[in-house]
Amino acid sequence: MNWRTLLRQRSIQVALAVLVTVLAVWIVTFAVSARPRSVEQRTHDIASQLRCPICNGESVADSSTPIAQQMRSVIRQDVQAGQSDDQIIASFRTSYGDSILLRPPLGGFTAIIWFGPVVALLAGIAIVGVAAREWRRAQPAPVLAHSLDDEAAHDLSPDERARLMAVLRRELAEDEGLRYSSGKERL
Amino acid sequence: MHFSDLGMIAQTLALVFALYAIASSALGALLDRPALVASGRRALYVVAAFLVTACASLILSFTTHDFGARYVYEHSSLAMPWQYTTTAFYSGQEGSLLYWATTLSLFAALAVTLHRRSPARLMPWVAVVLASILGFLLIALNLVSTPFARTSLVPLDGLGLNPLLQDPGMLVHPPMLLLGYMSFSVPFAFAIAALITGELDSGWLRSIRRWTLAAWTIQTTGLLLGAWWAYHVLGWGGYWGWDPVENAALLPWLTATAFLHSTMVQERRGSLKVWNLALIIATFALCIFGTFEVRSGIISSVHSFAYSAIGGVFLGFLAVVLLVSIGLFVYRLPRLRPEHEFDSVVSREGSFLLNNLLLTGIAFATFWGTLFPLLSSSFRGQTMTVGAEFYQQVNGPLFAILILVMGIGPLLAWRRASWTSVWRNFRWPALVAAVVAIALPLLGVRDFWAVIGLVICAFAATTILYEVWRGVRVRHGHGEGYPQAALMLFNRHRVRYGGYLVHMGLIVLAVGVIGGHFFQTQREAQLKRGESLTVAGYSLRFDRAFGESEAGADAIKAQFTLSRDGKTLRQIEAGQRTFAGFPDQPVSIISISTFGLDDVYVFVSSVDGADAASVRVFVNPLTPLVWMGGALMLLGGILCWWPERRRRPALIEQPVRREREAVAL
Repeated sequence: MNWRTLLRQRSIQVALAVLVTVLAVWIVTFAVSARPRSVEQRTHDIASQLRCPICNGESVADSSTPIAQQMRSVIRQDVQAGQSDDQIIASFRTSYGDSILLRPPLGGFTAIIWFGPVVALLAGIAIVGVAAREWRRAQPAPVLAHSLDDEAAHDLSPDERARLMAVLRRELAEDEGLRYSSGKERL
Repeated sequence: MHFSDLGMIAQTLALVFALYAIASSALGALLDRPALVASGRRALYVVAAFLVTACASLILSFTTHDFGARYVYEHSSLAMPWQYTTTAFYSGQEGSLLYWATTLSLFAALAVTLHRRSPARLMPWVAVVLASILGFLLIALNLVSTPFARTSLVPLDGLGLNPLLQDPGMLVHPPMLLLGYMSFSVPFAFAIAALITGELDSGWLRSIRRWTLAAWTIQTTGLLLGAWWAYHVLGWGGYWGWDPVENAALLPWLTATAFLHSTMVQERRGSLKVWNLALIIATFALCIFGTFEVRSGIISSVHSFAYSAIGGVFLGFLAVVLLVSIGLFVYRLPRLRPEHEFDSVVSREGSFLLNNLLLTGIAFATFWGTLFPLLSSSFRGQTMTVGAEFYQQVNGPLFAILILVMGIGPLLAWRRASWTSVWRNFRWPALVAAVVAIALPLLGVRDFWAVIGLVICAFAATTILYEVWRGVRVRHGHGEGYPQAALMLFNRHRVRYGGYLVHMGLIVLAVGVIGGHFFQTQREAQLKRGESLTVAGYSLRFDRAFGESEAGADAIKAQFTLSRDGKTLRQIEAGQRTFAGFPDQPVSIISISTFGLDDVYVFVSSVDGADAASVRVFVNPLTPLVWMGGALMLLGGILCWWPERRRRPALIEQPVRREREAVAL
């Protein structure tokens, strides 16, 4: 099937129309009418990237210790004074050192934490991909998943098809302990 | 004689019998002597009996306040209420080790009894592996850290229990999590036994399926209880902080979940044998790793309750487990050929593969982040902390894709799915997802990633509901009423529909997580009497502060009136509790009120006299869904685990009769 015949199918047309509508709504709402973050939101976002210096692995946003409260109010003041997120984080980094950062920076040694999972995931995908190619080279299996409306079932004569449907339905119904009534129900 | 002496004797004898069980079962298997195998099995019963005795002795030491026993002295006091005195026995490292060994001995006894009729060559080795794990725990208990050591001087009162642990959540959370860790031993034992005997067909897999399901359900319960405890006690408005210890508990859960899925591929198609063995071994190894991490204190965490030299012992055990497993693995690799190759990526197998890729990917990222502080401190001499942010950014998208696959996978056919059936199964869910995608931004949800997450959840939930609906409709067509049809569907196909229930629970939970993460609003302020603070439409008025005396503790509480749109909702109290003996470690009393799908979470950081209080208020939309989803997951897990009714024996003859009828027609 090439893309022209694909496009002529009604189901594909419907799917495309829905997709376009969704994208249109998203572009209008997210790109056009984006709202700036509030002071509280920004304070929280910044505080959650900094480690509370006296806690066990808690962030400044989460900790309830006095020092974390003080740091939060410093951040809030800086935000209100018009500093950018990066500026505020950088000022904490100069006074406390790298260990204040909860989110390891993307440069130097700490980059390996970000790249580790990505590399592992790519390796996993590669392994599955190579394996999948080998499966495809193996004998292709017949399509088992069709129901009787599928094209694969079209070789049958209508009589034969109806008879097989009846047998199948009865067997399935018996297996389930259901009463079997002559095939009006849909599978 | 003290109860602790009795416990000491019991745990020593338990070790002796565990060693005997190893020797007897192994010799019985090697020399093919059923009497020795049976003797080894009975030795496991004896180990269980002695360990239960030891546990009972320790509990009695606590309830009789025998402070001459050092462990009792360190973990309880006269002022503690009875329920915390009783459960204090697993609060420290020595006691939790004893608890672990005892529950494992009970599970081991149960396993060798229930599987007496399983493949005869397998069972002795299962007993050997279980007895070896028990032996290790008992050596650690007897030689490294015993809960029964005595002091020469008997103190008048104990030191008391860490205040954070004196909470109802602590009565159930640690024992559940330890039980979860422990219960992965049984599937591991079967896997190792299968590797030793070379009986690597699907027999061992079938034997452990329900054990793994049980372990998974227990571990899920433990994780949920942990999240619930954190939410109610820690006071930062959340329930999961990606703390190293939480991660350690999540890791085996992730690999076990992957295993429960890939095992279906092996049962149906005979492939992924190597992978399944690797997953089950990894799950057990991660349980040991978690214990090592918690106990050694090498990584700083809010769970730093019990540090000791036992960490090194567990590290050694972990090394032995990995070496033995990998050695056996390599030895048996030639026998692990798949019976059937894969046919197509667009198939049920393919979706299981993707599921496994994602779950192990999440597990790897979590492991990596947990270990990173250690790496940076050993290579760079500076401890870098990896905060929640890293895990959210890496694992968040992976979980989103996982839920997407969860919606698609179960409706794909085995071997190879046709595009027509894909279209038929997914057109309605896709439409619902599209409607949600349009509705959410129009309703004012402005966070792009929240919308993406919710759309994925809507899609996956609709596929499940649609699938259940189709099953119900077919049964209804055969004359069953709708409620009965639904009931029969779940009753007759427990594994399949139990699985759907778990999936549905995870989706509900994910919606709750998305709500708490993206839509949480919080404010902090110092309030004077009569002043109000408004957060996300909820208004909190500070009325008064007062002191209260409780059993073994003093509390300072602040009283507030919570209202919305001028209408009073309820009176709430929040504050701090200070336990006797721990003046420097006040524990917060947090007030969480649920209104519809909103949680109003009030945390009082300090009460300054009767007229002022510092408060932090969080409004967490959708967060109650986390617990509802969790409950649904547990229900589904139990349904999957529940024994299937035996099929009628008449089924064996029926196909022949049916075939004749079909021909006659």
